[in-house]
Amino acid sequence: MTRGGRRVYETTVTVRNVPGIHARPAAELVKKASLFKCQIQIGTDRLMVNAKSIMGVMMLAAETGTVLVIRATGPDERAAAEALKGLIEARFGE
Amino acid sequence: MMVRKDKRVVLQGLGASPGQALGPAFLLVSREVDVPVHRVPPEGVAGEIRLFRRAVREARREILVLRERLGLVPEDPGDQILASHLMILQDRELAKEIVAAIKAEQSNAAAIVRRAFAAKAHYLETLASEVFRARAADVRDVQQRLLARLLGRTGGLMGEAPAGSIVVAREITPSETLALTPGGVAGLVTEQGTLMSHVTILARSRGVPAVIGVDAALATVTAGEPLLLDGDRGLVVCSPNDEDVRRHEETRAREKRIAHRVARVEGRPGATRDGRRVPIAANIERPEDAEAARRAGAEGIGLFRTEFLFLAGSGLPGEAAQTSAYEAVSRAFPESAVTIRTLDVGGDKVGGLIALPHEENPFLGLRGIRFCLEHPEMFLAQVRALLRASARGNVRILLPMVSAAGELREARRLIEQTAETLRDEGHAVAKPSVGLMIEVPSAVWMSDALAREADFFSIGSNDLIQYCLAVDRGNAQIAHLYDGLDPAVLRALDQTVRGAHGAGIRVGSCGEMSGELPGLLLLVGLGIDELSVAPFLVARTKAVLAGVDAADLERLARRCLAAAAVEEVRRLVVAGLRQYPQFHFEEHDGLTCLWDPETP
Repeated sequence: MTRGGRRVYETTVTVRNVPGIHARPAAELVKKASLFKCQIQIGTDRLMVNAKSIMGVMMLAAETGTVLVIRATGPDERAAAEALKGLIEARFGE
Repeated sequence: MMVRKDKRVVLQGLGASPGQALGPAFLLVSREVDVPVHRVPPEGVAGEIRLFRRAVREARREILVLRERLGLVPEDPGDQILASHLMILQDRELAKEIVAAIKAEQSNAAAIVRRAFAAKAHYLETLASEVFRARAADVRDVQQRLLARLLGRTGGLMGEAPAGSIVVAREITPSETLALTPGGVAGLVTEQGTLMSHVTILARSRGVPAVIGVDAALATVTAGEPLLLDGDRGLVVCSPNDEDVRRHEETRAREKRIAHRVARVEGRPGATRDGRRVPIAANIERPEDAEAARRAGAEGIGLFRTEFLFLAGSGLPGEAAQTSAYEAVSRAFPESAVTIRTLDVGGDKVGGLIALPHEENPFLGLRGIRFCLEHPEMFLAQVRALLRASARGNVRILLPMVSAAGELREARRLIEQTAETLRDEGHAVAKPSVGLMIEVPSAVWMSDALAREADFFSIGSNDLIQYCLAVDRGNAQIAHLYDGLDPAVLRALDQTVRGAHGAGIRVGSCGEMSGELPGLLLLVGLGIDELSVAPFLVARTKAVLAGVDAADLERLARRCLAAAAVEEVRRLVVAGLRQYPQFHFEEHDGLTCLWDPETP
C-alpha cells in the first residue's frame, strides 16, 4: 500500500503477556522500533502513538487482550512492523 | 519555612526503624514545587529551549552517576527504574513536543515541562490497571529531576544526600529508597508513610534509623540544621542541646563497644551457651543483598522477599531476569538453604505493582498465596524461574499467607507440574522443597495436618500477631495492643512448633520477633529451629544466643505459656532472666529489653 507516494505497511496484533505492555516490555518495544528507519505508529482507534517514544508507549497502557494496529511508513516498513508484531506475539520473552 | 521561637524543637512521629542518628538535615526537594509561569520575549525563546536541552543532559548525567555510585546489577529492580528514566529523557518525540510548546506559547521552559509531565502523570493515574498507574511515579520522578535543574532548588535529590546526613522528605519514592546503602544516609524523616510501606521495610533491613509520619517536618527543619533522630521512640530533635548530644554519644559509645564484641562471633554458627544449635539466617529484599548477608555471618537466607523484584515502577520482571536473580542468591550460599518467598502482595504489602482491585478489607482479602493462585500466569513464571535456579539443590520455595490445605495442595500441584515441564524441556531441576508461612490462625490450628504435606514451616510473626490479636499496628489508637509476648501469641507459636516437630519438619521464624528481645529468647525457648533476621542483626543475634542457656529459655517459655495475661508474661520474663545481667528491662506500655554484654 502507498499513501502520498510513501510506502505504508499495516498489521494488527493482540497483546498476550500479562498484564500487558508495562515497563520492561514498553522499553523493549521502543528499543526495537528505534532500530528501523521508518516511522512507526502503534495503538488503537482511541490512541495512536509513536512506537519510538517511550512516553507514547507508556500512555498507550496496552493491557492483555488489547488489539493493536501497527502502521509503518518509510523504507523498511514491512520488516519493522513484522519485527514489532513478532516481539508482542512472543510475549516479550516472558 | 515556619519561624520557630525556640531553636531546640522536638517532633513526634512513628518509630519506623530503630536506632539513633545525629547528623545535618538534608531536605529532599519537594515534589510539588511552585513553578512560575511567564511569557518570554520572542528573542528569549531560543534561550529557554537551550535551558531545557541542558536540563535534559544534566539529568541524564545525574542518573548515570547515581547508577554507577549504587553499583547495581542489571537484574536489580533499581537499575531497571533508572534505565526507564534514562529512556524517558532520551524520548525525542517528547522533547519535540516540549520545544514546540515553548515556541508556540513563548513560555518559560519550566512551566512547559511541568505541564507536559503533569498531564501525562495525571493521565496514567486515572488508569484502572495498577501496573500502568504505577508508571506515573516514574514520570513524576523525571519531571522532578528536570524542574530541579531548571529552577535551581532549595533541597536536593536523594542520590546527592551526603553520607552521614539525615534526609527529611515529604515521602520517599521507590527509586529513592535505593540510595539507602551502608555507610550512606544516616537516618530518614518523612511526613508520610506507614509502618508497612517499602520505605519502612527497606530502612529496617538496611539498619537505617527512620521516623515517619512527622507533621510539617519540611516546614520546621532548616537545611543543614543538626538533627538527632531516635527511631526507637519515634522522636526527632531539631538543633539538639549539649545534654541531648552527650546522651546520644553515650549510647553510640556503648553500641560501638557492643559491635566490637559482636564482630567476634560473626563467623561462628548460631548456638546457645549450652550448645543448642540455632542457625541464624538473613532476610533480604534484593539479590545483591545475599552476598552482603553471607559476609555478615548469615547461615543461609531465611526469607527473600521477592516482591521487591517487582518494585513499583520497574514493572514485572520476566522469567529470565527472575531466574538470574534467584541464581545469584543460590550462588551466595552453596552450602545452605536459601528460602525464596513467592510474590506476597495484597493487604498492606508493597502496593503499586500489579492490578490490585480495591478491597474494603485488604487484610482479609486477596493476599499472598490467594493472589498467586488467582494469577497463575504470574505465579507460574515465578515458579519456573525458581525451579530453573534450583539446580544447586539449595532453593526452598516459601508460600505466603496459606490459610488452608487446599491452597498448599494446589500450589504444590502447579509447582510439580512446572518441574515436569521444565525437565521435558531439558532443564536440570532439583526436587522442589516447598514450605509455607504460618501467619494466619487457621494455619496454626491446622499446623499438625499442614506439616504432613509441607517440607518446612516459617513463622511470619508480624502478621500472625496482628491476626491473633485482631490488632492493626499501623493504627495509632490500638498499636500498643500489638505485643508478641501476649500468651495467645505464645500459644500459637507453641502449637506451630509442636505441629511441625510432630511431622518431623523444621520450623523457622522470619518475622521481626526473630531479631527482637525478648521475643527471640522465647522463640528459642519454644523450640524454634532457626531464626532469620535482617543482615545487620545476624551477628548480634548470635552473640545474644551465645550468652544464654536453652534450658533456661525452655523453662521460661513453659511458664509463660501458663500465663493468663500479657502483664504476667512480662513479669515472668523479667524474673526468668534475672540471672543474666546482660539484659536490662524498661517497663512502660510494653516491655523493652536492652542487651549490654558489658554489664559486669
